[in-house]
Amino acid sequence: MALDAGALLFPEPQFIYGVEEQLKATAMGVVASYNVMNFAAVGIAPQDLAAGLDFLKNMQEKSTFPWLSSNLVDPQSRKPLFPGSTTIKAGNLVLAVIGLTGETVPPEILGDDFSILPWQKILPEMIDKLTDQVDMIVLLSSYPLSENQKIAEMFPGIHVIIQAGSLTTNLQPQSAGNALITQTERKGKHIGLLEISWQKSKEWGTNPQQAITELKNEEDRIRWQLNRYRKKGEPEVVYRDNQKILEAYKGLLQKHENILAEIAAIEKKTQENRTAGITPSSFTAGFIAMETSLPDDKTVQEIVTATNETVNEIGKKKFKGKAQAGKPAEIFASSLEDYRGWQTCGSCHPRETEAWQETRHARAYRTLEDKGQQFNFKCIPCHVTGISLENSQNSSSLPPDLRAVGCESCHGPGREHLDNPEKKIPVAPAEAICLGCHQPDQDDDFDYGRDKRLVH
Amino acid sequence: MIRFMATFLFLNLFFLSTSPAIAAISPAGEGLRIFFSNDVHGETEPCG
Repeated sequence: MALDAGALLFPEPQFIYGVEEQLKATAMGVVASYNVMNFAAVGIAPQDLAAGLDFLKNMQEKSTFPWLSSNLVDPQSRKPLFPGSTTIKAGNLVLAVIGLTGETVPPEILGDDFSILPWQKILPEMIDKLTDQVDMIVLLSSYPLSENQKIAEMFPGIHVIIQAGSLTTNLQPQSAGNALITQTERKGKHIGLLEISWQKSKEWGTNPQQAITELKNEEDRIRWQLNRYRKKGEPEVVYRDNQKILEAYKGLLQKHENILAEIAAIEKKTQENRTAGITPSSFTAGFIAMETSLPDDKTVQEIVTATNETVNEIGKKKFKGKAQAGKPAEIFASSLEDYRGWQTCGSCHPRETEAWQETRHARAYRTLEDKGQQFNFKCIPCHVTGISLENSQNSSSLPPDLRAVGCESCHGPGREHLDNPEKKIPVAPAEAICLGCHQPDQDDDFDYGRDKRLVH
Repeated sequence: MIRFMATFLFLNLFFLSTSPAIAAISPAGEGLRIFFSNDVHGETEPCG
């Protein structure tokens, strides 16, 4: 079965930079794809509410899977606005999947037509009710790890917690209480896979033999140290005038006894389980990288292509104004007044400009046009000059000599240098400037030392 | 997201087709395979 813990629709709980319509269109494409992929359930994270409660409800209606949150409630009635859990039959197993929305975002950023209740007010009764009804409980939680650990410690009836958030690496399953807590890294770069052998004990087990081996190694080491103290005779007699050494010896003695007791307890428990036929549950886990070498699915690809076209159309309708070469439209005047365009640079630097024209930077805007993404506001700032995400919706008004990653993208606006050629501008841009656009998400093969030589 | 969604469906179908192997994992218990994800939110493949 496939589960998503949340933050499926939007990256942030609040829209910025006027890209709301495009993000909504993308969100609808994601939901359509998840329908094709037969997801069993999706948790609701605060980010999923960025477009408002009504939009999320609309997405619920378009989804073949349930959106889950047990603590997202109507502020007046305090009743859940979405299903709190769903029951799934997987072979002979019956699972309950519970959704839990994190409280990490301040209420004033979210809407006022819902409330997020603390998990302490919701989970006790819910877990109590479900524990005897199902074989396994899985929690989809957008709380941080520290809270999920508390939840796991408090409720041994929860067996797996899948987290939602924005981690930079995958979180290998870690134990807390009777649960495994795990999470994939951000932006869908990996899919997590848990292969579980679930036993009637409903408990995760450790390998008792491995635990005993480690304890016995420790016991050997301590016994060796104790023998060193005993070399000259009984330590209580030999060191009777040296309390410090005597106390260290007694501390080691106690530690030795504790380890022997722990080994005995594990062996006893293992024997009891063997006699009662109880076997602990086990798992293997992995993270599958979504590499470009993996093939695409035709149906999903069609959805993706259609979504991209819709996103571009939305941007196109927001097109404002027109401009002539070298003359930004009036709407730009204040934000682009320091830029002069690559043609102006070329009048004094023909050799560099000629070399630049053969590079991918010169074709950057055309690559968006070729992909039908020249109106995708998220893409534009790194494919033109002088535009940031705040005003990217106006980028179609840019004059042609700013519709590329031109000289001023790397060397800065040219106005001061043109007014005073003696005032030098940086010849080689710092790596940080390149990394502003050549981030791993967009260019996973970028190497500053190697690639700066390609520019011109 | 595009790459994720497209390739994930491939994996989904692949693993479903090998699902008889799940029973071989644990003859004495119940085998279960859970794929999981988060923070997908439509991140597209590289713009250009």
